Amino acid sequence: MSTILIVDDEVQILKTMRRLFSETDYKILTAENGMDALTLLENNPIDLIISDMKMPLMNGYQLLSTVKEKYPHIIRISLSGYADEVAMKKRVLHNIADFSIFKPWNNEKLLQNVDRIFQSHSLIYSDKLQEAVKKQELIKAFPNNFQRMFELIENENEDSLYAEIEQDPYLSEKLMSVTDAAIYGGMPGSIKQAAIYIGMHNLKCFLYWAAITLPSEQKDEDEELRQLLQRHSLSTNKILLFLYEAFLHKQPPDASLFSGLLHNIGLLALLQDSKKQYTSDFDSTSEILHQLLFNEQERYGTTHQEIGAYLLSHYDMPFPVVETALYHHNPLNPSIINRELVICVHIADFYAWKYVMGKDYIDLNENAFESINVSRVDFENRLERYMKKVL
Amino acid sequence: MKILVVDDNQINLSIVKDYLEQFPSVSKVLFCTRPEDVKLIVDEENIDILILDIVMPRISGLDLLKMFREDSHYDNMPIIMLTSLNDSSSYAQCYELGAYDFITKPINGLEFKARMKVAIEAKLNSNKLQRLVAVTQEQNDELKEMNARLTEAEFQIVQSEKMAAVGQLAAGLAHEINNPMSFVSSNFEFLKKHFLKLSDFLHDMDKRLRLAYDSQNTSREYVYVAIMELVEQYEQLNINYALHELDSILADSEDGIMRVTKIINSLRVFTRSSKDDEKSSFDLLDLIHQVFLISKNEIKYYANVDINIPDDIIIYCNGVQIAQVFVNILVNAAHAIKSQHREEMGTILISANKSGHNVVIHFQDDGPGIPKENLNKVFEPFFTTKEIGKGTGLGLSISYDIIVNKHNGSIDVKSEEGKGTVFTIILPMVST
Repeated sequence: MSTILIVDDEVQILKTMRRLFSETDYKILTAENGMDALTLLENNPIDLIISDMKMPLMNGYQLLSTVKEKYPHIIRISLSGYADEVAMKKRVLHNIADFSIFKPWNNEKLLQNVDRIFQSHSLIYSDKLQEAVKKQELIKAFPNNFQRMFELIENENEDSLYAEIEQDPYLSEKLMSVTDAAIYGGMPGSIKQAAIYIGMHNLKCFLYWAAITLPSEQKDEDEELRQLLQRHSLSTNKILLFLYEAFLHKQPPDASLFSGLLHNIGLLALLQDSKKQYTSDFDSTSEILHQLLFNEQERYGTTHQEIGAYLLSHYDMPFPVVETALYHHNPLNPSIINRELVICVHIADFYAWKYVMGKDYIDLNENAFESINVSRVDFENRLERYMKKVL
Repeated sequence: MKILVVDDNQINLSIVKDYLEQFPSVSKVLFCTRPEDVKLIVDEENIDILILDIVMPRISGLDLLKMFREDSHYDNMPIIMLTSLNDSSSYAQCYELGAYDFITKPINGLEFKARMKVAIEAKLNSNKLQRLVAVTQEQNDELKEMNARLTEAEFQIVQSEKMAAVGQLAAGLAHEINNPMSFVSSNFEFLKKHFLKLSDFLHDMDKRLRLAYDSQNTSREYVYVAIMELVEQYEQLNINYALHELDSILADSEDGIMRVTKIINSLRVFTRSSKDDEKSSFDLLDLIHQVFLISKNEIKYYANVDINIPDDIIIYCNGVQIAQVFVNILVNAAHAIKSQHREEMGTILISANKSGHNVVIHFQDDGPGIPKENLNKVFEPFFTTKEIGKGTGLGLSISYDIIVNKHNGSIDVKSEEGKGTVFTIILPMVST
């Protein structure tokens, strides 16, 4: 039985919350301020915390930061009265909460999302998955320059960060290119401009992608396959942004701008073994890829989706991105919170493989287009024109 | 410098011409032998200095002198008389009529030059003075216009300062309204769900009971089964918890709705423009409560507020303006305490007492206090210790203007660094 801690300085909100959880099996604890919440956390096993942002003495941001540091396995949800943009960006940057509930909320939806996040969480942190990750030694240290950059992000030291990126021409070029796809009608003139446009929180995602995807002498991997996967992730992101802009007429949710890049990170992680493990068994790159994509369950006891989600969660990536990794082959799964995003990544993923491999490569969910109200025919036509233009 | 010489005698004119042309500032020398033409030439050529012979046929120099001096338009034109007369009575007459000077005939070159020099210099200075006056007049007009614009701008700044203050409060107000709205709406959803369940159950119960009644079966077993089915169905509803919570839900929701209503009501204090200086009677305690409600969100995370005001104090004032002053002082106090990043909440005390015909109101906080060197500057326009973008520095200067100039009251501040600050406002009361 999972335990939820709810923190808000308004007693009546706590009472209301208790009521709405009354018909579930969750155990509910409440606190009126951050200090009491921390005391409860020390003395009780808690699985999820919902915290109001604006409270006297210790605000929600401070409380959730402390919880993240001391109890990293606890799911964090923020409850917020009005959206202060600056505050929200900072929250997303430091991954203070997996998702936010805005006041006033809808009871049914709140319950649904709490259930969903518990489900995803249990998948990602299952013992089986943790073992597989450990066994494969999938978590490796990043190269020094990337370590430095992540630290600069942590400290919100923008100017030094931009300088660091500028020193790496390959990295700079990739950043400009992915940002260009994100902006319509304007090419950023500099690293700083690009970074300011996408925001620190998305820059962080890009840098993680780069750290894992870009070539490095230390990795013992099949170079051809690495390049293939890199091309695929870049294409997926391009197509994803195109789908959002041209058909949904909006931007992807905050901090999921580069979910196209990161959704298949699991494959890339498995890739590092590929040379060692596979070269004896298979001849071609495409055969290795096929193994990774469809048969990894046999070898690893888990899927690349789960591995990807685990890694992204471990690297403190925003929850919507984690969801795209976990569910991109199963986009209509009822456990998904950011439904539209995952469906779009699924579609983009399908077309990216088609483009990179020259033919249909994975399965497309037959209801995907319908569920986002987009005509498949229209999309394919315009996509063809778009891809020709950007090449 | 243009000079017109009038003499019916040609010879004199040519003598004078030579002398005059020696003066560098003389640009044009005109001659006239017919006194009738003089006025025309003076007007057309804008003559600066007029030299007139006294004895002339038809119109004498004296007549011309008199004519010109009677018209104030020519006040700045010196008129010098040429005369061969040597009796003092004609001299006296000329001076009386307003002549500037004399030159006797036959003309002595040195004397002529000396007198002309004086006349020319005088005219030059007079011209300069005139120009100066014209420029000053122009500048004066410009200043008047600028003053009018500044007054207008000042009003705009005060208005926009008020708007900025209200804007800052608006975000907090939205939050204050949002909170009760969120639990009221959640409670409503909860009630709806369970009421519908109950409603379905009642319909069902109605059906079953009718069925049982219509069956006319009075056997115990039948009745027992019917009752058991009903009980089971009721239990499945799982509605006990909701029923148990009902009182609390209703009370909480009513309270929430009341809170929102109060906040909206207190906004009315700010709806009228403070431009009309219209005054009316206000209960001080009510006003303070409304002010507190409006600014609560700026204060409640940092300080506790104690209000100690008798409920029978009526002040005669412009409600919007006084409310603006109170909000300003309260929010300043809260921000000061906030800047200390304390571990516990600060305290703000609002108290009032009668004193003769006045009411004395204190706003006391236990914040950081105001440094001695800033104490006499706090009411100055644009003085602020907050960082750029955090405050215009106008709040207290506007408050000062409202209390002192518009309400004949007084506002004062005492402070000790590290201990706190007290603002004291004295306003005339309405005598009951």
